[in-house]
Amino acid sequence: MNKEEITIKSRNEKESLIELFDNVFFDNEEKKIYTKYTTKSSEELREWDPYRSKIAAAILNGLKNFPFKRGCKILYLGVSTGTTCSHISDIISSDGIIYGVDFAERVFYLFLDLAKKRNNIVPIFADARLPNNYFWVEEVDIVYCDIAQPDEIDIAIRNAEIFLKKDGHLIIAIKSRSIDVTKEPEIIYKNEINKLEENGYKILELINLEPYEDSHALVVCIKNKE
Amino acid sequence: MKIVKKAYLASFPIGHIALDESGSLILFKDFRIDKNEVLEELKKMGYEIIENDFSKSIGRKKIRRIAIMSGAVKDDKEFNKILIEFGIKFSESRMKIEREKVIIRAYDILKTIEKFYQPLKERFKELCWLYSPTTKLSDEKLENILNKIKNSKFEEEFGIKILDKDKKILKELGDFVYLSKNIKNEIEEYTKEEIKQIAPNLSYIAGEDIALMLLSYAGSLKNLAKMSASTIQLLGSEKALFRHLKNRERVKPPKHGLIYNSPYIKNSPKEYRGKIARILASKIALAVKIDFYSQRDERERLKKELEEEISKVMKNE
Repeated sequence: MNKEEITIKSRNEKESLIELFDNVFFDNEEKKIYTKYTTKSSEELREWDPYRSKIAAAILNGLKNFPFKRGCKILYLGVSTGTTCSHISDIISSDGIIYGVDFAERVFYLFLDLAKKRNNIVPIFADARLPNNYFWVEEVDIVYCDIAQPDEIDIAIRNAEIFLKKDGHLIIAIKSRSIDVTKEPEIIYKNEINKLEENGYKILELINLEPYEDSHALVVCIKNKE
Repeated sequence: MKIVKKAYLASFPIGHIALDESGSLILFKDFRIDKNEVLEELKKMGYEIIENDFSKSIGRKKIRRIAIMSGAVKDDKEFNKILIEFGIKFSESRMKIEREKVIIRAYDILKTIEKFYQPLKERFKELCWLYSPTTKLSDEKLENILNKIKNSKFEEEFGIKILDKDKKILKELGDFVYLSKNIKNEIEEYTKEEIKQIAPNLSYIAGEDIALMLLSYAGSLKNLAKMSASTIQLLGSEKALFRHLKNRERVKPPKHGLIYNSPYIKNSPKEYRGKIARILASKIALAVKIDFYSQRDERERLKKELEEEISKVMKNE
């Protein structure tokens, strides 16, 4: 955590800084993105590393549909140590809330630390395959799923079915290598998109994360049905 | 005919919420109030109470707005705060350090120490040789030297004068070898004692060594309990097994994996080993299942059956 939390206050006044989305800034000169972390006493810009975070990689590759906004309610499956989660927490600010689910003990201790520091992260130590264990999560605006499992799409759909509101966004980071190593990534993306469409999700965008992550893609879709 | 009204009740960390079919609010009580009170109040009002997935799904949509409107929490931020506290408590209560994981880690450390202890001892022996080239250094003798080095009685042991700087490094090395031996023995005893606690039947049937090996290989007692006897029989001999599966005509299947180290197999003639391995593996599979699921004590019965069946095989019956 410490690495990212280096304050870069002076950058606030830089001319090359453009606000892309809520609390997300793009440095045109250095081609880097930052998120603004606001506490009661200070503001700081934290660099969002595209090599460690798939959403940042997608933004640099030209993501247009970015549903994360101030005050969003998010269900995040597969938080890991919470690198991406901390940046989303910056974006939604203290009005929103993230429900972070993970099942690996070793990384969860780090994530618990983060949750105790921030005021908008609810840690949930549970298996995303069994959403009944965290039935108490409220209805959310966005379900973001980043778990490297062969049945990732099924897990994401099962969770979205229960927790996602109508017209809410389902975002999935597909790791084609963990679904099937032998097939071409493009074919896998196509299959998974078909699966989503069959289940009543409208695909908005498919972004390839190429230079930052090998054979990964980010899918953004909307839940059409009730 | 009297129509019974239905109340869909769902309990959240923030409170209990009861809605009717169309989703309008019947009752909301915050988390400080016991669920039984809510149930009674609903019954008094003449509702049939239903708690299922549907009640959770409609409750989930309204819970935040209703909790704030009813004044149970002041605003969104307070709502979040209560949920965060609940989430931290919920996660911490589910993240227990399991006994078996401690044992497996300790056993892995033991294996590592065992691996480096032998070459370390040999190298140290060679170093000591320089000071007493005539005597043959057996393990017993080395023990003696280590003890004397510990007490700084160099001259008495070696006879040859040792440089002071050599003395220092020799003493430190000697301490290290001596200590790793002691630690090795201590961990060995500890793991054996612990495996008896979590898997009494398994360690009685197979012996503590093999019980530890199997547990460490499978990753957890649960994984081991789910395995069939045939899997346990070949655990650790995957390479040989797949070589056989690739080329069934030429390569024979392996007879035993990790359980080869059991005295039942090791000490018996070669032609019986396959059959004995099969019997032993089936008893081990039973013992693990008992240890994990029912925790009964069936040690004597299993051992008796095992020995009877092995003796039958040896008599060619």
